[in-house]
Amino acid sequence: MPSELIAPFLAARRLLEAADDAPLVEIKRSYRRAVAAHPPDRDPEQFGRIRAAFELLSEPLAPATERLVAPHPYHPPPVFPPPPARGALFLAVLRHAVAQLPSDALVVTSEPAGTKRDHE
Amino acid sequence: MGRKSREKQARRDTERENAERLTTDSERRAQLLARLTAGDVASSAFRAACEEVAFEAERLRCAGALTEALDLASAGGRRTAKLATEEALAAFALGLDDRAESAASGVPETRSFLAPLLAAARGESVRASKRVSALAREAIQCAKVLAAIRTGDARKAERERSATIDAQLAPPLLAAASSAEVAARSSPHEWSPLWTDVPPAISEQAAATIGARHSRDVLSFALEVPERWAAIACASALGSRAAEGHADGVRLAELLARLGPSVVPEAQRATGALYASFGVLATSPEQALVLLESALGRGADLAECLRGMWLAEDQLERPGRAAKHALRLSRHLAATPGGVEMAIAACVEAARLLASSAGARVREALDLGLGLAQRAGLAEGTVGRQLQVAEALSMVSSAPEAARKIIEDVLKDDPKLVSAWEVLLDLERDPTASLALLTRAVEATAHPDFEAQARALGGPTTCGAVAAAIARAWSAAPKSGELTLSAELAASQARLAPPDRDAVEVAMIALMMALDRTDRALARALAARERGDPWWTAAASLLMRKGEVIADRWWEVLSAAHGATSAFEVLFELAIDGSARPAAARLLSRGAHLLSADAVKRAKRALGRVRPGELSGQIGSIHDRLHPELCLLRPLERQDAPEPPGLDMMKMLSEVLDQQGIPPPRGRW
Repeated sequence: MPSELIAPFLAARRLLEAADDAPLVEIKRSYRRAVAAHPPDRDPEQFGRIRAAFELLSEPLAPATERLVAPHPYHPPPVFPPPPARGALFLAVLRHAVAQLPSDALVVTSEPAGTKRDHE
Repeated sequence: MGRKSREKQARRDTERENAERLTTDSERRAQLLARLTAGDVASSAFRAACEEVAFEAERLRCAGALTEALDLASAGGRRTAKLATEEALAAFALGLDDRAESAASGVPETRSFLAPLLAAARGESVRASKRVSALAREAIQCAKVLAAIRTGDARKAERERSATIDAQLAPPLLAAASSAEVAARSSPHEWSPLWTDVPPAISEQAAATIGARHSRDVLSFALEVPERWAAIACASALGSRAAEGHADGVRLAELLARLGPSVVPEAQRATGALYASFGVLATSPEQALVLLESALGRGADLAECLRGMWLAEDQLERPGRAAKHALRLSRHLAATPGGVEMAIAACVEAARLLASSAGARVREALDLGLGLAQRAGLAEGTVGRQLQVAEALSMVSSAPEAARKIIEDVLKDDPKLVSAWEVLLDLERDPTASLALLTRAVEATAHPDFEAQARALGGPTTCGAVAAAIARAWSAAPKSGELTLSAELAASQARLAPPDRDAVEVAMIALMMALDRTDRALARALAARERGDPWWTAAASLLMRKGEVIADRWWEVLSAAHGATSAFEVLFELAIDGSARPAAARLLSRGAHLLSADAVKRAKRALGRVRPGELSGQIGSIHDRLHPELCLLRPLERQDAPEPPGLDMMKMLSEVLDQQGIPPPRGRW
């Protein structure tokens, strides 16, 4: 798998439909073909992308150097497990508490009238 | 017997005892089950067996052997209320809610206790019940706490939890869980029951929950708990922050640098080490190198690892080693489809690093770069020029003139090439010439680094400061001496933005006037008019404050060039703008015959509105630009205005002149 480091350059070549090892002269040809297929007056958005890709490949030094000296990795970051659902821990603890409950505790003892509370 | 042998023996004994107990337990269970299946269900022996089975199931359940407890209890076929209750409780503890509900359905007390818990587990609202046991009330409260937690309502969760009276369901543990789930602020010790009194699975879940819900406090938490839980909490915190969009590459690298790659799941440890290394790149490059080696060993992206090693070595100011990694990266990228552009860039940087360290391998890097550039058809453009710059850099010490020649050729093609200017500045040894070169570099590239260097070298950086420095220099100069600008001050002025540069020109006119060099000031202003410099009008306004003679001189020049009417219009306006009432009056007397009666009236009204103490128009804006470092015209300032904090030009000049025994300049100013 190619390194993410070169991703913009690979993407630019893909957009212009130029081979991965095509020299500038071939990239220019591909660019002209791409512009003919997506002229700026008819497809300005795609033309903008094509133009940007061509500029990247024809003057690559500054963007490439900037990428090389960036103080962070371009490789996709590690994927972490999703955060647990709300309440999952409490429910787990509740189940554990029930597991610890002596069954005698469930036996109803009579209570004086008025001490029981109404609940919604 | 040695300590280690004793420990080993003790461990063996414990293991044997555990195995014996397990055998005993399973044998006992088998015996009980045999009695259940063999006996007559109506017999007292069978009832006694049921009792014993229920008792054993409860024991197993409370000891945490839930599956065994459930198997044993369910073997009783719910023949007694206690067996059914045991089955229901064990099933609920295991999360088998349907089975728990079914088992509890025949026992009212168990049903009333478990019903709210089962409803809450399903996410349903809790049914009201008027007459229930204390334990069932507690279950209802717990269900309400769970409902509040699910909505994220911390206050309600706390209120419902504190209302749990007669608590039999492990109140400290539930309080800790509730706090871990929703509390806005908690200290790690509040959560301690979650890893002291519970099975490891719950501790694991607690750590993940705390990491996710308290991601900001995760570091302090991580210090308080065993490493295993700390790692889970940190991973969960990172996952949570990434899910919320708060952990981009840079932030994640910083966090991993603090937490260490061990918080990343094992399968992604290589990427974790890579990110952690970038996180410490700036602060601890040695540690970054260790982490990068580890990342590389675990199979992390080779290009990223080499890049990290290059940056770390560069940070350690070891250009030779940095270049070695950059070259290795370049070769790796050159062999990667679509990687040639990055390969060339890495090569150019390697050449630069080797050149600056005067390394012998610079030729190798240059040749590699050139070969790649030719392969990519990029040798003629910026890439080729950058390689030339790297080559020149390698010759700075050995062949400075040849290096200079290369750079000058490069700058002819691309005057904005910052790296070429850097080499040219490297080549310059004379400080004054360096400053002038720096000024040219700033003008050509507007690069912030050059501007900063120029500021460091050239002193004043604002127009007021430059003007004040000129005022100091000229005031200290002999009275008969020429008022010239030093190279440093000229460079400082040249580095200013155009409006600031013009303000300094006007300030110089004012300074010349204050030093009784009005003729020189006039000549300078007239030359500016000839060149079309925009500041000449402000200079003319200022100069006309000197009086009628100057107004006459301007009149002569402008009327000869543009005709009397145009000269009047321009000059009268400038005199009014400069609050130069005598000059304006003089101009009006000279040009009144060119105007209509109405125009003369308007001019007279304008003259009447002149307030000598006010600054207006162009001069006012220039004054503001120079202020507070230099007050352009102190006498024009309002009397009630506070003393400006900057340099008081008039006061300073008066002091200098007084020291030299010279009377102060004549006239209004």
